[in-house]
Amino acid sequence: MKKAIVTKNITKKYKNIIALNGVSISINEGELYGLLGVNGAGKTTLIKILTGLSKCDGGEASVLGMDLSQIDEIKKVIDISPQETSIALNLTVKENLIFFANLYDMEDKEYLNRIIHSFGLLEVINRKAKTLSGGWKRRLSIAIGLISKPKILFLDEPTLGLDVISRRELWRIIASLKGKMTLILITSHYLEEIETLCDRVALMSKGNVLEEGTIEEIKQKANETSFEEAFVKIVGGNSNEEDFII
Amino acid sequence: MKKILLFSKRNFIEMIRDPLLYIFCGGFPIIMVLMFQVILHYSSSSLVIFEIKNLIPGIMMFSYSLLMLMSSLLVSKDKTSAFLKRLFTSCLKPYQFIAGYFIPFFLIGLVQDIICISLGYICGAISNTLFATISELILLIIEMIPLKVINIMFGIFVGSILNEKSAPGISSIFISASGIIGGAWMPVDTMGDFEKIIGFGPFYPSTYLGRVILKASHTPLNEEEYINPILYSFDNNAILYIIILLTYTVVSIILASFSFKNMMTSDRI
Repeated sequence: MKKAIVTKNITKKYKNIIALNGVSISINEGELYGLLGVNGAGKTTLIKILTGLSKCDGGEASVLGMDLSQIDEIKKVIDISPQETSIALNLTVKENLIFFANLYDMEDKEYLNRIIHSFGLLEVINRKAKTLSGGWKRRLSIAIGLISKPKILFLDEPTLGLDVISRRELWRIIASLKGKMTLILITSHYLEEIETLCDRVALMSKGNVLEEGTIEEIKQKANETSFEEAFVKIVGGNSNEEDFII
Repeated sequence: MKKILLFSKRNFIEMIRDPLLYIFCGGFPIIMVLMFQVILHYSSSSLVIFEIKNLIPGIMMFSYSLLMLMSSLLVSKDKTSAFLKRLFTSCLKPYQFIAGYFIPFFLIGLVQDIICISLGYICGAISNTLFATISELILLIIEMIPLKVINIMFGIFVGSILNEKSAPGISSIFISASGIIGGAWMPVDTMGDFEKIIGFGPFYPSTYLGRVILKASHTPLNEEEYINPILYSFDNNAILYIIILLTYTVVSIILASFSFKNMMTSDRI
């Protein structure tokens, strides 16, 4: 199977903190791939390196066959929806979409209309982005990520801080995107999200990839029937209940 | 150029929908001119520094420091909201970002010029004095360009290195400095060495050169100078001040470019 992203021993340090400690992953084309880990695991750092927002200290990576030294070429085929909403707050939904469409020289109005309809943005199209709820802001953010028709879409914590209804709604949208581009890479610390959406997963902790595979493979390796138990077992649920007795 | 104009348009819309713009960049200069005219009207002694030819270049100089506040706020907000993070994964180049931020603020600066000059004419008409000829006005606007550039570029610099909470704090230091050492409402031409020292800052040279263009009067030191006022003229100081202003302009552009480029490739975003 053709590889969309390959990383080999990627390392990254912030002063004395090791954010990535020799991360090696391999992601196939056509996948909806998840990076799962608790806060500070290194998921966002890895995405920042793959999108050219940060430089790694060591190791190598390739995105659609291009290594990171060709970041300007890589930028032409990727897009990102960061974990912050990253939209122009004083612009309306329509103005935001048109701004990014013009930025990427996207003249396909039919495609833009399809995005608006798919994300249900028509009902808020003339509202300023700052007046939208968290769920709508996320929808708009992901919709903007699709405007450039990217081959790879990075979704960094796409449902962070959303209520359960908004989260489910976004899951539906993300699932519907599968197959429409070469790869979707999601970071999350919600197990249910990764389990529902992703074909394959990398479990990360303290800058390391501890396990990589399908949900079933990970459960088998951990010898657990539930993904949550497998995650806790692999990532470090080794604390003793007696430790918490006061 | 298309991308620069596109980004400028976004920044312009973002700005004109922010009520702070009207308060700081429009309301403030108007209130200050009116306030000083009221003081001039009701003061018993003649306060030459508040006469319209002296005051308007100073108020113009001061109003640009508010551009710095607004530009630093916009850049730092775009950074905090991760709007810039998203744009950094596009193919926009550092110079396109800087030009995109610069153009709308420069236009706002020109609007400030129009406001201040209009006030100059209105106050001049009330006091029955000609504020400026057309050629003086054109020269005045051209003379003020470097200070506009300096303020906007320093705003971009501060916005790119600080967050939206600390950027206004640093900008307010800049605003206070322009008020104190800009010579807008203090007769610094009577303060000897103080005038020489503040002449090396970016603010007073603009005020001074503006007064040279408008042929404003120096603060009189004795009875005779009240009767025959000494006018600001294109002297050695003026030449030095042009050099100082151009130096600050170049330094501010380099600082903004360097810090923005650094932000794009650093781990701060």
